[in-house]
Amino acid sequence: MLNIENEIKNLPFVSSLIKDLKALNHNNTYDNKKLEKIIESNSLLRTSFLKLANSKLFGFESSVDTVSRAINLYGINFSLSFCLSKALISTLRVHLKSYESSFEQLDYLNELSCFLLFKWFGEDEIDLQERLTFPLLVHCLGEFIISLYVQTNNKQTVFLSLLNEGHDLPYCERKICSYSSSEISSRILENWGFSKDECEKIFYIDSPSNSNYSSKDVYILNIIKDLCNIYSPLSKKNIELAFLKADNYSLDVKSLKNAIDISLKYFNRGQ
Amino acid sequence: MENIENINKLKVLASSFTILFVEDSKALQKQVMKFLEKLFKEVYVANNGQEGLESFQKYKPDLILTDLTMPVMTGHEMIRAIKKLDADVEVIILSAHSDSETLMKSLHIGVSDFIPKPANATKMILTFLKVLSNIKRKESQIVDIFSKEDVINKEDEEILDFIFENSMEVDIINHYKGVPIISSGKILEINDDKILLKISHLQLLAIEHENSAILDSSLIAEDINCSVESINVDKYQVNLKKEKLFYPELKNRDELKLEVEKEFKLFLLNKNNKLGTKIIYISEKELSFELNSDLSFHKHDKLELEVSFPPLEIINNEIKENIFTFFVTIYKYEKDNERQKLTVLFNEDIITRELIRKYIYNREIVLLDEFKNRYNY
Repeated sequence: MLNIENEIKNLPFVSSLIKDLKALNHNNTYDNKKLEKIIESNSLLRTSFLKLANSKLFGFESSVDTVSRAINLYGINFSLSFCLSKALISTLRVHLKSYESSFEQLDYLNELSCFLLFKWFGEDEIDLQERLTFPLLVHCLGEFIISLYVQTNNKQTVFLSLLNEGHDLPYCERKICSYSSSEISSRILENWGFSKDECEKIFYIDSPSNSNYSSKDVYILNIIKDLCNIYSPLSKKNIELAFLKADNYSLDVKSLKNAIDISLKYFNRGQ
Repeated sequence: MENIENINKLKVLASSFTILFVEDSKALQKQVMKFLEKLFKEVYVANNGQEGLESFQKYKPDLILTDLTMPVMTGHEMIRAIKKLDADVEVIILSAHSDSETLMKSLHIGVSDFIPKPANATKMILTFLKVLSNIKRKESQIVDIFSKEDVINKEDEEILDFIFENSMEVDIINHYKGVPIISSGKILEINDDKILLKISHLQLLAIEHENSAILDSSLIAEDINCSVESINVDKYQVNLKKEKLFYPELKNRDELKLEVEKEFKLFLLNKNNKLGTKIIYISEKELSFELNSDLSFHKHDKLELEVSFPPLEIINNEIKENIFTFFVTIYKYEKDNERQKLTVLFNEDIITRELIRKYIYNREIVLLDEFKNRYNY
């Protein structure tokens, strides 16, 4: 089984870039100029952010060619969450082969997750959008650890068989290494000094009914994660399950259906 | 007789330099400009310290001649601001205030010489000769300094030890085709000239690509060039060997100096000829290229270039025409037999600058994606 303590011990330290971004978040005095300066000083953030702002799925109609414009269009909360997630992801070894996926696909699915969130919950629920963007973009960290573990320990065949038998992803992950990816992501973020709140939210994404936490948030994250899962995104089975869960959790099913329909058009075009 | 000799010497020496003259009196401006224009390659003029600072940033003149008492910003304030941008630029003061307090203040902020008003031609000629000779001498000395192998000195070893003992971070700098890849890391161990670091995975890939890394810390003036001893991907660790100490150019490590794609074509337009070039790099403010020709070039010459680049994939694919001509000014020039290497600054044409900026941003995205794909990121 995966030795989570060892994995955590081997992790790199949090970089000064991540600390600077966290500090901006922590103060609650959002400073566009400071964020702009941080993004401009880092090639990875600058390129990722501008690429997103010009993407078909989550970009804007006219081209965006400056960081400050992108921040103004997305708003500082989203911009900060996005950049922080990028910085965190680049810290770890990105390995997704065991899921038969790639970094490019992950990038796309992260965009899709945000797209679904923003389409499902419109402008009336900006607080919710802002709260859930960061967990949506970082719950994947654990997948890198699991994917590498599966490959290193020659468990690829077993893992894929479980997936092909129709079991959900967290079930397969727990069967192989005792943890789901979100649980591992939560431990990683806890090790890197993120708030208990954030870590708990992410921990329960794969088992929302166990959460003592704000259920609505975790249920929404659970649904979107299933829809955009790394192995079988927007599969018929996951879409049907999403409607069922949304109904059970008293979430807006009609709006979810609308968001999924639009996503499918982009998804089919983009793949 | 001596004066005529000096004037002739100065004419030869000054003809390859540019000068910025900062003076609020229009009458004196006119008088001195007549003199300067006969000597220098290019003369820029500003009416006060603020304009002087802006002109310096725009034109990067080799020498500054300035008054002290001016509106908006004084000469001393302007010099302080300019010295922050370029500590080595030579400044001559032309002022009626020659009291010892003013002289001391001027020396403290790095002024090279002082010409009292009313300006005396002989004094001006001798001062210019002295200062321009200094510039020439420094230029040849700089080549010598940086060709020597520098050993890590004891003081810097102590600073590295200090960083390590206090669990502080160092920045690791790499490049992929001109795109800087920089992140911080922690020193785990220092053994003689070996440094063991824990860093992010992306930085590990960049180090693997370059097979070297530069360590940078705000506590040290110099950067340390290191070679790679070993990489442990599973533990996010790299073992580096300290090789060479060097002074980075104004620590401008974020600057993008990108390699271009092969479809990017650059031609030098000369009379009715179009000369092909090989581009070394492009940045938002300058372009560096090589060409084979028997033309002669000098610093500050103006050139006309024609550029054609492929459609921008990510940012602004609204640009239909990708062929442009524009003017540039030579900033650096080297010649090796028939092979000439030029670095040119883009002139102030806003449309060209905007296009170059969009190209740079787009190219940066493409290169970083290429890097990630190459290393199966």
